[in-house]
Amino acid sequence: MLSTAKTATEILTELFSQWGERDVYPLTVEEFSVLKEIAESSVLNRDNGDGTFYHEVCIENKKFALSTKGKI
Amino acid sequence: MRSIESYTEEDINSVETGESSEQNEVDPRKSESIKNYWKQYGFPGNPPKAGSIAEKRLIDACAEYAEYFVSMSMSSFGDSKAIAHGSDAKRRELHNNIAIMITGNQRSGMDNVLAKKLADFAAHLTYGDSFENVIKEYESYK
Repeated sequence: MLSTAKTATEILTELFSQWGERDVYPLTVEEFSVLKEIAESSVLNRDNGDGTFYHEVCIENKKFALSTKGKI
Repeated sequence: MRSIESYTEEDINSVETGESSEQNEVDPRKSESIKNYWKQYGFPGNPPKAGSIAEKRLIDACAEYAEYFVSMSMSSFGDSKAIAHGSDAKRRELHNNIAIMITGNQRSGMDNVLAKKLADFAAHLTYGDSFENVIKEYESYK
């Protein structure tokens, strides 16, 4: 069975192509799980205290983020 | 690790033509609406590329948020069935992700004026009207 999971390079290329130049790029949970493996600094998983969480990774001075209502 | 500048047109094409489980067919009129509302609300930077998966995700998040918002508002008017499928944490999660897509910051901790603009953007993109008018219209059918 062929895997359709994207590599970190594919995810980054797609984000840069579709969003253009910006400081923070939005992610899905699946994309976050892939990118955190190549993150250059510590991965941020913060409880917002309102039932939601904020997750962020930093790669090449760019931030990649998403919010969830549970821990990932 | 490659620098961002090193990503070539070839890389981009290989990704754009690659397999994806996501359907990214977007009505061109919706793309035009995003562009217009983005400018109207004075959001920073540019919206995602027309017809892209990123644009589809923004549309879907706005639609899901707008439906939750209307459902919750209807619930406050006594329609208990309308909110049965939702939760406030889910609505906050959607609002946070729309905020990240548009401004780069999440809704939690954001000033209320900008947060309202993000919600209004979602309403106009989804219903072509404000939440206030959409709710009034629902109420008129009761």
